[in-house]
Amino acid sequence: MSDAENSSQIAKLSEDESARLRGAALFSHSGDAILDVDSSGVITAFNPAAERIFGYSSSSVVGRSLGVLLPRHSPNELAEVLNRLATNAGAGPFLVDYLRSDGETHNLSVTAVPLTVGGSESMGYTIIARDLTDLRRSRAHLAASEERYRIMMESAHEGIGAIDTNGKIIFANSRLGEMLGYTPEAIKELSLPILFFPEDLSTIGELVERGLNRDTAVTEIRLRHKNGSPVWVILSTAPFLSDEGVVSVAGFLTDISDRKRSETLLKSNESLLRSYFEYVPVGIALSTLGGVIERVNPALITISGYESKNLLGSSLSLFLGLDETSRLDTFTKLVEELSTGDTPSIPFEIPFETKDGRSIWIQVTVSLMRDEAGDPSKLVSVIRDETQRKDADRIKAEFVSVTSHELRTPLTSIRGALGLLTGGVMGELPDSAQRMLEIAVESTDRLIRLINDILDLERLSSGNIPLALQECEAQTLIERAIDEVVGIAELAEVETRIGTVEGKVWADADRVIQTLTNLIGNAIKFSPSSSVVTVSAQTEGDHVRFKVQDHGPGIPADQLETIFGRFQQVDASDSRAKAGTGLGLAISRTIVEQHGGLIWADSAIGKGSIFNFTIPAVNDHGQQDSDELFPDPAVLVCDDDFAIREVVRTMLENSGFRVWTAANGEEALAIARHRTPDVILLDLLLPGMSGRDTALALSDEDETRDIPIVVLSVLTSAQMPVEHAMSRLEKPIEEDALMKALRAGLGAHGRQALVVEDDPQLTQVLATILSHHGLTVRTAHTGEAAKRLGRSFVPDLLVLDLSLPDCDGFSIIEWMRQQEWLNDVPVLVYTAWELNEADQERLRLGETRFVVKCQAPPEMFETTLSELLDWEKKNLQ
Amino acid sequence: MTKRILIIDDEELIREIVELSLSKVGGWQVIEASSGDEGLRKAVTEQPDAILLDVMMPVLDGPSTLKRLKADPISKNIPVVFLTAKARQSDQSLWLELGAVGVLVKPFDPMLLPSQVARALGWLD
Repeated sequence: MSDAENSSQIAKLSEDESARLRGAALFSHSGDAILDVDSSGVITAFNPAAERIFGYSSSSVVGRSLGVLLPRHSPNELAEVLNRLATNAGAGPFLVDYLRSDGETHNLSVTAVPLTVGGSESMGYTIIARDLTDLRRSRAHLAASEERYRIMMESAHEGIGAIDTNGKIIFANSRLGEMLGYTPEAIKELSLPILFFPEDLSTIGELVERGLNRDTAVTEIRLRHKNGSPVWVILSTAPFLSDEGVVSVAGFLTDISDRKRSETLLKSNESLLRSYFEYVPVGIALSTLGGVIERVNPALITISGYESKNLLGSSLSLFLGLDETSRLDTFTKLVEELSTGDTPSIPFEIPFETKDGRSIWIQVTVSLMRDEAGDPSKLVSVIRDETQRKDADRIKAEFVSVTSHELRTPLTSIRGALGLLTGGVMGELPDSAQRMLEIAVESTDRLIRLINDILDLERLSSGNIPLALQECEAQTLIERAIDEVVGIAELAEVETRIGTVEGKVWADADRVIQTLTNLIGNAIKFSPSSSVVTVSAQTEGDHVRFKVQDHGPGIPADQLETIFGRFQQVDASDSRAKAGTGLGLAISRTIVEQHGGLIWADSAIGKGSIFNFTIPAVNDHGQQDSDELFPDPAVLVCDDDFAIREVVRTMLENSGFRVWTAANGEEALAIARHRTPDVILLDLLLPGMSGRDTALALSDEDETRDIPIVVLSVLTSAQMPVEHAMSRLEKPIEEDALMKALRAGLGAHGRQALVVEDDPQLTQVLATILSHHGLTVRTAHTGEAAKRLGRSFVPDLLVLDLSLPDCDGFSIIEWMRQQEWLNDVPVLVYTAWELNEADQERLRLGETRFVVKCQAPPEMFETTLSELLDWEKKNLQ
Repeated sequence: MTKRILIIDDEELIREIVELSLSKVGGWQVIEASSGDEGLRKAVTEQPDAILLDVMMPVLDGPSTLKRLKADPISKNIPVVFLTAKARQSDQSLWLELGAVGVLVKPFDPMLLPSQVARALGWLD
């Protein structure tokens, strides 16, 4: 053998050797099972992996038939396996579900390799089995988890998308598509410059950059909807990692367009409000609930003449004409009224002196601003300069008044002269001259009516004639109106008839009669002779409806409304129409509307018309029940300062007084005469008739002489004595002193009893008995009312029922004990309750007696009352 | 006996018409005064049976004249009727309260004026 051959032999040997060594290593360390089977099916080798996969040790299977590995398989199946190995040797791999002896099924991939030496007959097989069980399981797991994510992505309320490191969109969920108006697939085709606005692209670039650096971020940004409009979102970005590092950046998008829209709206509203505040020609002041001014607008500075530094931090009372003492109290009440009452705003109209000393009229409307919780937070006052309107009103009123006088004076002479001529006072005239004069008289009369109506309408619509509202029987109003038209009814041969009439109204009687007279007069004018005009009235809910029905020609439907306008006639050629001024219905409408009623006509051509109007009814159970008979004490407040009148009114109304106000002495006199208040509160420095003269005039007249006067003044009695005043209060007014003075004033009216009883009939009976004993009676149906009245006067006797709707008599006595002026009031407890001694003790105030209803005979009340009054008389002496 | 009426009015033409009406139609004797002051003097000196008083007059107006008439014991029992172009309802009730017995409005029909005055004064029926 040559060296070369030798060495090649060695090389070959070592090649074989290394192959053998490799095979042995593979056999021992492979993860796959390797087993050798000889041609007769006996296992000859079994590697460690086979031990693990098949669950048998090498020693227990080597030398045994392959069937030992398949104990659960039938011999036929085994034969089948061997057959497959034999016939398909070298093929594979086959997938086999291998049922192990411990019951677990393993998925195996099996390959059989025939063992041959030098192309000879097979010597057996090497079987390689790979266990796929774990792999399959993890694949299934992966699939399930992918499905879960898919569902999450698709059902998420957020839009979700992802872009890869190249900026390409690789994922979009359907919500994201929905947000932007695309299908999710379509989004993947889009580039970032389409989805975002150009100015936002750099931000997006930064976000992607941060994602790629494994950073998360959150930002508010716009996307571009398919239709071009911005879609505002909150965008959270996060890196999407794999083993290779960041593969994409995922974005989670929450749609905030709605919020953005309302923010924008809010901003524009705010700027709108700000420009209102800055530029409206009315003054606005924002203040705390206590009236400290916090903000003013330029118009208020213009109106008031004050600079904003003067106004900020000062009190709103400057614009409400309040003095220091009543200030806090007024604001508390103001806020209370605004927050609890039905009034969204309270108007004041007061004279105001500007910083530079001009006197102007301002109208201040105060309303409440509330915070988010709905609680009052600020006072908003709108302040207008009403000087011009006031002046205009005054000029107009003066004009109306002057015109009325100046026109009537020459007309009086004309009408008089014509009247004397036609009347033949100057001697008989020829017929033709007589006729001419009659025409002149008729036309003068018409001119006079016209002037009266025009002035009337002018005064009515300018509100210059306040309504003198009182309770009126519909029957009386109709009767008086018919009285007025008797003449023209007779002339026209028309019968006026009163139909069904019932109801009471709260109205200015003269004005309602004027309306009725107008309507009845019209009805008569348009009625054929010997027909009937019927007037009726009926209560309908909270109003009374008056009806005037005629059988005239009727009114076309299209004119039913226009006839209430000025100078409207249904048929101008109708001679009867010419007798009127064309203002009657306009005046009637103004009057009815001033009362808060409605007026309208129903008509059928050829059959006649019905004119209807409504006036608020007086409810029998309402404000005018027994209180009408036993009214609360009334005070007339006369002061030319509106704000003082209102402040005093508030104080007094809260203490159970009825309050009337007058702005000057003349008004005070008229009210005092008509309504006889219990006390008059009189300012001394009044415009026109002075307070002193007013007091003098009051003391001059029988009706008003006995009304106690409390003088209200900045001057002391030494500076200005008033002979007829019973007491004097100095301004600023102190509530306690005011009440004391008024109680003293009311005390001057002789003996007064307070009956506290919730049963109206019994109240009536008790009050009647007390009146017979010479007592003035005031009644309260509730504990609240009793306490209110207790502030306004000192009763000489209290008749007390113990069970009241809102509290019991015990609490009233307790309250009275705390009011020093009420400590000695004699009490007659009239109750259905049985009282033990402790109860009686709790109820004692002044001299106290008890009468038990039912138990005692009815006379008992009167006997006890007499006793008590006698006792009082004796004690007073 | 013929009734004597004092007419107090600052308008000369109206006084003339009233005078004609009351004398020719009413058959009464008429005394004229052109101001409140003159009226007050004549009321005292002439002692008329009634006074017809205008409201709007310069210096001393009707209601003030009335107050003075009522304040003087010599004139306070003479009945006064207002004859006025100022015919507001509220004013009328005020004047009645001041002591006037009636209010008649201008313009008036001179043929009817005497009977209206008589009715206001209670001289009829």
